Amino acid sequence: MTAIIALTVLGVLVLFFGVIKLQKLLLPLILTGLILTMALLLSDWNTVKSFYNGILVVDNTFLSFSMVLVASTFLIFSLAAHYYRGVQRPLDDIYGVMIFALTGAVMITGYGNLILLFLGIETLSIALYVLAGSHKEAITSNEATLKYFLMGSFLSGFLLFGIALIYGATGSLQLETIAVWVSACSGNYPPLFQAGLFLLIVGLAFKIAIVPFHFWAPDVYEGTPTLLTAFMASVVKTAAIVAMYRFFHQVFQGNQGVWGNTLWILAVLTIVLGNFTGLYQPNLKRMLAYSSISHSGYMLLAVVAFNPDSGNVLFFYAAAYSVATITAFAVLILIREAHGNDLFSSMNGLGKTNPLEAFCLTIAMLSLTGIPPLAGFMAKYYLFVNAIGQGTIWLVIIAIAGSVVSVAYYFKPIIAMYLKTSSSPVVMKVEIPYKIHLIFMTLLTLLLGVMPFLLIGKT
Amino acid sequence: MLTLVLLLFPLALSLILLFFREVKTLRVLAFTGTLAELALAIAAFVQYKTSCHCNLLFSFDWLDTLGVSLKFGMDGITLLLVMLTALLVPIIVFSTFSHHYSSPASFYSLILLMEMALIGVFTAFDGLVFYIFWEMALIPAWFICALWGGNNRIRITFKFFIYTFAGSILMLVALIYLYFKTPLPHAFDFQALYAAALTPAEQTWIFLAFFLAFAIKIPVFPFHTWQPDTYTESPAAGSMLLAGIMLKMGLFGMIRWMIPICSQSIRQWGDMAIILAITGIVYASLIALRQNDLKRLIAWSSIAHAGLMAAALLVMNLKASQGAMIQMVAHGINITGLFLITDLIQRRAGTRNISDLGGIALRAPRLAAFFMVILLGSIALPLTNGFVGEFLMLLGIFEYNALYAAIAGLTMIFGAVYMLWMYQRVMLGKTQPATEGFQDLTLAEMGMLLPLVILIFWMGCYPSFFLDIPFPDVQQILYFVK
Amino acid sequence: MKMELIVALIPLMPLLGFLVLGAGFRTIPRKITAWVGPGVILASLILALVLFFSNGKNTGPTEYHFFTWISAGELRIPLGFLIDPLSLLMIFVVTGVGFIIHVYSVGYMKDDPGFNRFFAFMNLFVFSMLLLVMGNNYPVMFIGWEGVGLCSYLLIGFWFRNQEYNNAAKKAFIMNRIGDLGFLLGMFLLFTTFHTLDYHGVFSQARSLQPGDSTLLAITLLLFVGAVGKSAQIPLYTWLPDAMAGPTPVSALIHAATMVTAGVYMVARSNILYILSPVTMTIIAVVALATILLAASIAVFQKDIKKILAYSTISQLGYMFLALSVGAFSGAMFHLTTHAFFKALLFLGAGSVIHALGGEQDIRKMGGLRKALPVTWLTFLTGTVAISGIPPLSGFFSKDEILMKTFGSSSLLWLFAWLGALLTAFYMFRMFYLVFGNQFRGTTRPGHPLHESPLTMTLPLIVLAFLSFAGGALNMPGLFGGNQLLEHFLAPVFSRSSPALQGELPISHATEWLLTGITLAGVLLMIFWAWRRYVVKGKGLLTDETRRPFWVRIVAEKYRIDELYDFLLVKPSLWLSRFLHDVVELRIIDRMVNGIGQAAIRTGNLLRYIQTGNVGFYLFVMVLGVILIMFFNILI
Repeated sequence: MTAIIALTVLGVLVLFFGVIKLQKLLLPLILTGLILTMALLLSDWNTVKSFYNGILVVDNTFLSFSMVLVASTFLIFSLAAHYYRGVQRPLDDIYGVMIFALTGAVMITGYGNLILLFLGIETLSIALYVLAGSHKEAITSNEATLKYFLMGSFLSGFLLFGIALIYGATGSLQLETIAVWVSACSGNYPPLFQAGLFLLIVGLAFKIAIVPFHFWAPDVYEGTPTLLTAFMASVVKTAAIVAMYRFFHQVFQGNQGVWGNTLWILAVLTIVLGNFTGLYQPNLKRMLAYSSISHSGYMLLAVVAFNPDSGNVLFFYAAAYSVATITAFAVLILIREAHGNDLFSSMNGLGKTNPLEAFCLTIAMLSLTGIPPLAGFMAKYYLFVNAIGQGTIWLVIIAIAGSVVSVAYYFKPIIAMYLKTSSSPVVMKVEIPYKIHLIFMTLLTLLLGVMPFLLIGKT
Repeated sequence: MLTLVLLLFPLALSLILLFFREVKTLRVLAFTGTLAELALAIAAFVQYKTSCHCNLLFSFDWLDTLGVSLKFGMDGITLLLVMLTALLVPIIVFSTFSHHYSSPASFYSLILLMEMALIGVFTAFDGLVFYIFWEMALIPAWFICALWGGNNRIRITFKFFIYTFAGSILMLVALIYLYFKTPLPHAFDFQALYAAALTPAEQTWIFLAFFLAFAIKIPVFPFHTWQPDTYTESPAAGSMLLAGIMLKMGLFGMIRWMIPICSQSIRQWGDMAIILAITGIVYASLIALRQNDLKRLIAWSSIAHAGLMAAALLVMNLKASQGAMIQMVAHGINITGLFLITDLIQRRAGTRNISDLGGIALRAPRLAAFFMVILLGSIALPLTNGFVGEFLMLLGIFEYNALYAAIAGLTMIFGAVYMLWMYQRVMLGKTQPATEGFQDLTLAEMGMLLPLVILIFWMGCYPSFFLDIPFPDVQQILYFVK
Repeated sequence: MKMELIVALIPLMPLLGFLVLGAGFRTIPRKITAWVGPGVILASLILALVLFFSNGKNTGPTEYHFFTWISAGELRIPLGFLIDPLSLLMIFVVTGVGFIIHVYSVGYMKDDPGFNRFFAFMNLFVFSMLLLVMGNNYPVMFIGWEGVGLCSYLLIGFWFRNQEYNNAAKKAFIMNRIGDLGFLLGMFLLFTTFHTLDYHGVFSQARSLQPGDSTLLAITLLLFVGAVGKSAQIPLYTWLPDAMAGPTPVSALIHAATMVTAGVYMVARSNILYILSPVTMTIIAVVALATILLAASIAVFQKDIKKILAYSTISQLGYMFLALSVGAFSGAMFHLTTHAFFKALLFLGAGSVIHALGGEQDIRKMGGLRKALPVTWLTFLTGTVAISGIPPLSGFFSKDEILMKTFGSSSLLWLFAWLGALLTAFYMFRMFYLVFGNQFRGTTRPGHPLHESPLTMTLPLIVLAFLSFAGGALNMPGLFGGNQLLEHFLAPVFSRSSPALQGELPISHATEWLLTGITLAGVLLMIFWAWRRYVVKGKGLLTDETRRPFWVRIVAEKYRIDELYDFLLVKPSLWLSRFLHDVVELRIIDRMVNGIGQAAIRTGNLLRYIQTGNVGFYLFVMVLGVILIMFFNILI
């Protein structure tokens, strides 16, 4: 709770600083604020509280995932200084909105009442609509925000309708009450409830970018300013998947319900489509979009193979995935600056010109592929153990086939950077803090791979 | 503890190397470092021999929630392969001194990383740790071949990577599946995995997964198509690492993991696998008859030899397995020697095409002599290392099925045919323009080849030394299988 | 000196020689090599003599174990030697004849740049050959078996500038390998049957088996395949004539006196196994006879002096196998010994002729050399007479014994063998007359006048000539008042199989005299015919080239066997190789593998088009998705 308050205050402060023209201090403020929030989150570790008669539940799930979200945001913000260095216009609005988006995301991780879920989702989404378009003069940015807004609002409708139906069926929005009701009707649920459930799933699936509700992702990712794409790919996705997990966790107490098969199929579709389509993408950003889609598929796997451990799996997976993705986007930012585009061809010879950046991107890619001993491998391994433990072996085999396919596109940048040579090599100017940041994230990926016990089984 | 040192030393060294630029220092560091590693390996061997049953265990609860523990140790089988690795890597490093690779720091550091991964594969006593190193080995291997390889290396090495990756990741599923079949508390420890309770059907699936992974790595016909191209396109050092050591990963995996776990289904379905392997022997030998590229010819010959080893392991009897064990070492030595010589010839004559070579023996009698010895080893002449292995393997296969042995035995004839043909075209006859000014071996190069030659005869004349190292463990595994 | 040491040193001396000469093949001066090379062989010979006389009393077998060579489970292969009459005889043949030929080589290879290499290989050969005959189990024999094959490869291709020679060497090695595979499989079957590979263990168990045991049949046949390869019998004989590419001393030592007789030794060693499998014996008899006649008939039309001797060797080996096939093991060994003498002599003589003519080998370009090369002439004559089987020379006794034994088992076999003997006499004297008779038909190169060879070469000739003359004394049959020394000497080795031999009918002295007479008459007739044809009528080969009937041409072209093999084996395998690589590998397997990858990429390419960028379409699909989910979950 304190964390949410802190974040809100932080958001307000940012806007205030904007008003009193303290652009210089914005980032320091935000970073310290985020660190503070982390501290607050850590401070109530292992405490279970609920606020406003159970609308918001503070438990380890909430805390751990919030930490992932805040940490990811922190990592992204530490890129901001470099990303916006040329920009003259005040940035307080963008930063502030990002903070509010984060607040919304954090709310979602701890909702105990469907209203708060919707509230959080909307806070998040509306903020994102703005952010997607924050690059006003770029036509692509406008297209992105428009598309995102159209589809997002449409799907929010589904979500809300779903919530309404569930209320109609169960007579409550409170998760505990719904859970009681659910256990009461022991397996055979009235259509009304089912309809609501699935509409809810669809609503969330859209945010997580699960096939066939993923269409916005590639286009929006491509149009959105890269820094914010990183935000979408990490924070938003995590928040949404947690929301879904939380619902099933609270309502169904970890026993498979009617939703199993549907999610099974959705997961397969997502993994297959995400990975295969990734093969054909000409540039890194779009490729990362599809990679994020396929990873939503993997995360969904944890929900499909639902068991008490799924939370841990998701937590570790989200962490590993976020770090790697943000690293990738961080390098992507540099490449776009240097070449004005992020075609694989413009990464040729990067291994020679910028060995450090190339190395970091390579590690990120390998981690996303799931090569030991990197975080991505441990995440996938943990996920598969969980899934196979639940007997969903075929889904795992499909997932594995997917990651074999994914090698093909994750290696594109590596091959470009190391094995191809560019006719006009450009040495990207990167200032030290940025380098340090890259190294930090890369080490994080390695660390999580070598010492997964730091995060595994903590929620 | 020594095991851990053996494992971490190359890693540390590979990191250290990254901080140097000067080629000379890099070479010296890499070479001395690998020699030190060899010394460590020998020390481990001595310790193992003097105080047996200790098997130098190191264990650390890594992911107790998931039953994974960083468990490393050494038994005879491991020891043999670790020593092979530790012996070959310095030679390979030494052989690179005459090349001028771009960015040497990363080159040598990758080689050491590879050595570390290989040793990890061999020493892992925990299923998942084994898998982790198995995959880790792939990365440096790919980089070495892809960064310093031939012209169309990108396509070929990529195929190599994705093919082997696809094969091995199925093994991960199999391992996890096994994990849940292990007696409570679930664990990846190999003892636990051996004890896994499986229905025949499950065992068959797991056997298939394992076999696919190993068959691709070894490679066994018909999963070999990545191999000739990769060996040919890789830099000399890469080919040696792949053929000399990495190939053994698959065979090692068979005897350490597949056979004890899937013995039942091997009894049931093994014939298919054996037939594949034996088909591969004849197939590869026949194709080798018409290769014009030296490296390619050696690559094909390697497929034939590997097929024999795979078949020998799959018949699951003591003679064949022991034969396969010693043949792993022998093959590692011989093929490294052959690639070394190919490299020497290519550097001097500027070509690997057999048709452009000839008459080298006139200019370089020493080279001719060394080449002949290594060649004899690889065509399994008695009193050379190749014979002991092939004799035992064929005898073991014969006991299993005489016909298989007869067909597999054809490798003796074909091997002689293509190897002698190659030797005749390359070394004998009149000199060609390319070989006109051919220099004989320098002292350094002889020093590089000498250890191999000594081992070829040592293993050929007194193989008991090498056979005794893995014997108890092989026996134990086979006893366990019965 | 301890026995073990002596026994060990016998093979080790040549090995030492090889190592020394091999290590310093560029540095050691010829003078030293000329002493070391033959010296080490002499040392072994002396050691063998010491061994022989030190335990001359007990000819019983004594085994010497040195260390365990290979062991796996119940398989335990010691590196051990067996010293018994049979191996002793072989040791003497190998070291004795070997030494003489080494000495000869000093002169013959005098000007060759590869002098040291030559002696190194020769020593290595003697080492391997000694291992072959001394081993006390089959694997050790196999070491030597393959070792001699290697040496023969190295020495045939000794002048490796010439790819023709290299081809010959390769052919020899590969054909031997084919045989060796048979040998290997035979060993495996032996092991699976008797669970040991030691002679002692195998033979003692084999005795208890019934004659005609099917396993034994398989074993003996497989081992015989090995013998066929090594001893150049049908169908694996074609390498031996080509092997003449090597220096002449090599042909004398390896391809006449010792290596090619390894097969005979092996069968004699395994006598008990063969006695117990009559079917194999019959097969051997047929193969042997066929080989005798085929090779002899080819020899009649050869023009190359060494080729003639090569074919003669093949057919003489046939005689040895014939003897084995009728159970006359000691007879075979006897002929092996005498053959070693006179065939080595003949080769060395031929060598001396070639030497004199500066490398000429075509007998059409020779003739009338009697004047120029008196020593060679006389010794060569001895050899020719000996091989033709004229008393009292060694060849007569050995061949006569074989013919007797053959008659004893079947008169039909005897008839063919007899024909072979006649042919032998004819082609040998044909060659003799063409080389030494009449006057010189060739041309001497300036600076190379016809000259007798140096002492180092003639002395060995004389020694061998003496041996071929008197060698018969080794095993003088009772018929001529002899007391078959060799037979009695070797008796303990073959005693096991003698009980099984009771089947044969004993031949009366009268019949023996009769048969000998017939043979002798025929032989003399042949010699006379050859004399008429090539001396009196003075026909060179040039004349009898003309207007040959078809069948003669076929024989003259060696029955086109090489062409047949090329057509049946070489070409198909090369074709198959290309087919496998170009079609199976590239078109099928590899294409399938790549196909999977391409399929994935194509799928990606197709799926990519779903991402139209058109929001309306997106929404449509999403709604569709929702509807489907609802449909499947609720309405069904």
